[in-house]
Amino acid sequence: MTIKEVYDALGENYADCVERLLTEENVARFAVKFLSDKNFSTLAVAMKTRDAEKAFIAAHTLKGLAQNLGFSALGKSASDLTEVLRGRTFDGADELFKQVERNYNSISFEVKKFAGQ
Amino acid sequence: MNKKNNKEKEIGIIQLAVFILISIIIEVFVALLTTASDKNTAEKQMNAVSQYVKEQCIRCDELVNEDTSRSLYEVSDKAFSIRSMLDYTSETLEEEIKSFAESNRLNGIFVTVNVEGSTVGQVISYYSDGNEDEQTWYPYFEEFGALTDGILYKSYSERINKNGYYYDYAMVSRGDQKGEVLCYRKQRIEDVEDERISISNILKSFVFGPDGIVYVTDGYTVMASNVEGKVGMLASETEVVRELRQSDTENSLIRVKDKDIYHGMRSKCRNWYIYTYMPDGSIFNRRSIILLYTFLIYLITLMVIVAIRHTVFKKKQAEQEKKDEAYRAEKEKLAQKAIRANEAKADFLRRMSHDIRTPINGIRGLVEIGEYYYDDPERQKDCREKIWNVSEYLLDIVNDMLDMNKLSTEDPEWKDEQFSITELFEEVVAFTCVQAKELGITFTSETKNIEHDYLIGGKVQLKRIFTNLISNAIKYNKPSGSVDVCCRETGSEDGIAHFEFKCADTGIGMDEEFIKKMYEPFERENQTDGKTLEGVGLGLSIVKKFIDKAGWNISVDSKKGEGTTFTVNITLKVAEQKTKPIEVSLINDKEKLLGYNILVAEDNELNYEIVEFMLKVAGANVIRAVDGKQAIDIFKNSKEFEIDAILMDVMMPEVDGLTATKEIRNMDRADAKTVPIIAMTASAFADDVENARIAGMNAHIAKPIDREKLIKNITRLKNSGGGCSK
Repeated sequence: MTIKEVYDALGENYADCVERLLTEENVARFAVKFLSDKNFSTLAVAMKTRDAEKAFIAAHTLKGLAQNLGFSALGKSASDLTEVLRGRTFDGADELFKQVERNYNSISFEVKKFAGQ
Repeated sequence: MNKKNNKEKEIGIIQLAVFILISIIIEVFVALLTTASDKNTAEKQMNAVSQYVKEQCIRCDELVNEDTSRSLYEVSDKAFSIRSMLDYTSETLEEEIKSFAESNRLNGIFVTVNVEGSTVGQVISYYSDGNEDEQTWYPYFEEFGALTDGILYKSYSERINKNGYYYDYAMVSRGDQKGEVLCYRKQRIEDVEDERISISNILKSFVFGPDGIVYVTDGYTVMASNVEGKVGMLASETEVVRELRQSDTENSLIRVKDKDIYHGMRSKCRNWYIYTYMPDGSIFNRRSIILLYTFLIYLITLMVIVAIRHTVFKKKQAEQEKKDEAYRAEKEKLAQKAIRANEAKADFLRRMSHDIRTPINGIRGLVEIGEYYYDDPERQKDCREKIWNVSEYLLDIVNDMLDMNKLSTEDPEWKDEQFSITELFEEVVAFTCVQAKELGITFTSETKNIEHDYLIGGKVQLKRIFTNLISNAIKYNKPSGSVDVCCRETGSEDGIAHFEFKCADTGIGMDEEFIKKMYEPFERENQTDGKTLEGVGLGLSIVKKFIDKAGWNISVDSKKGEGTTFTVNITLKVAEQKTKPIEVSLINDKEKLLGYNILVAEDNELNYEIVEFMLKVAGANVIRAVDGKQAIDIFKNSKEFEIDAILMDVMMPEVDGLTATKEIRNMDRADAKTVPIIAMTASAFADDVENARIAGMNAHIAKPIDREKLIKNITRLKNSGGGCSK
């Protein structure tokens, strides 16, 4: 499985990403490294503990990361959640977080598959 | 209303009282002044009269004395003559005496002899043509005898006043023995005191002042007066004279009372007392007239003042009414404007709810499709792309609204910065042509005659103007329509360059009616084909505000159904840098940032690694800061100009990127203001861009970070000198 296939499986734009990161290896390296980033787990905890400030920062950072790595779906859902949390409220945030979680899990699943081989 | 009327009445009463009080004060003051003046005048006048009367009295007195002296001299002479001629022992002594008297015009002659042991002469013979006899002259013989005591050559003469006659007599000693010879001449007083020397005549027909009265008395009787019938009466019969006498003051005016009130004075001249007085009515006549005139003048002045005040009041009232009318008209206008604004807002809300609901519904629809085709990556990818585009459109709508709100509540912040107009134009063209392509609109763009590419001005605002006009041209176009945009330099002088930006479309056009209000917020032209237009009607409002602020000019040529052409005339200051910065080849990225020391402030490890990779590929040395505080410390401890650029993540723990930027910009070192600082953030809202600019950042790069864009920004900023507006 190539990293391109990972992106294809996720429905993401691999070509755009490799253009920015120059090589397939770089894309692969950063995608795998994404799995060790703590922002999603921080977000999940903050959503549970209703810490709006931490949740907002984590969502915002996750959004940036996703955008940088070309994970546009996650970038979109994280962006939606960020905007709700910007007001430091959780009104509608739970639903949006579920979408973030779905997107994150999709990425995690595919990248782990790639990394595990 | 009643309260107002009562208050006005009160004020009127108070004003009237004040006027009356002032008039009283003025009248009293004038009265005091004129009284003193009139009294002074009267005193002077009376002094003058007294002086005149004194002179007349003295003149009369002297005349009388002269007459008396002459007569007495004659009589004395006669007496001395006869004394020598008489034969005192003759038996015809009496005839001799008579003959002498008659021939010498004497009224009588008496001859006496002193008896032994007595000083009083006994009459031995006499002649008198009247009733005078020895008894008549006895006291005089006694007195003379006592005086002379028989001295032979003594004489005495005198004029006496008796029973209406003057007696000029002379008594001489006999010479042969002790005894006297008395001769006298007798005249009626009125015969003696003719007009020339009569004191009673000095004031005949004398007029002084209106109703002025003068009396001359000898202390008892009125000897002269300018009032007929008063001569001869007792001085004490006149109350005024009595009071003047009692006052015991001379030559000063005093107030006395009879039936009327008078002011008068008393003076003395030899044996005469002079009384002059006038009734107060005459003395203070002038005062009365002056008081009257003063009152009239005051009244007239008051009336004039009241008239002027009334006129001024009326004028003010008219002005106030005019102002009130204008205010009412303005209020009406504002009310109408508010109503229109409300209607426009209601319309806007209606449209906005449609404009926002439509794409949101679209997004939801696409999500459902994505969910449905959960195992079809291509379909899913397609949905995500579409969702992304639609959400961008939604973001535009919201940004427009936020910007418009900002523009309507505060002055648009304007930062003059150096930029390339061709680059700006191409940037806008780059993303708007994509819009056009998606809608099947033919899009052409060109730049012409750009001699001055690098300019100083509101880059952000100009970009917005270009973007909004082009977006509108695309949005309000017809299927298979076209949009042509052109930016050309039209002239330059004294460091100023002029440009014309033209955006022509073959869209739906605007009618005259709409053109009049096209710059008002939320206004949108209605399409005749029933198609719902996108957008919220803020684009042109924003454009107009920016153009007005910059002092530029915009014109429009539009025909409904055919298309619209917007022309914007722009004036910008030419940047000092005459030549374009060195174009860094994009082909060999490895050299682009060679030798650059770039400080990257990023708390997220992965994000940092991505940026670090991009920079190192371009040859840069990368220094990391994990938060804003570290970034500040690293910069502070670096040598001046050692760090070529700073990439600053905005959201960081401890000290965020905006705060760190402000701190760096405020440092006291040569490169603090010039080092390029680029914001890196996942947010790309207008507010975020604005906040970054306000903090002192030069550029804003949104994630996902575009490597080429990043490198281009760093080199451009570095070559242009970076810097911030603060």
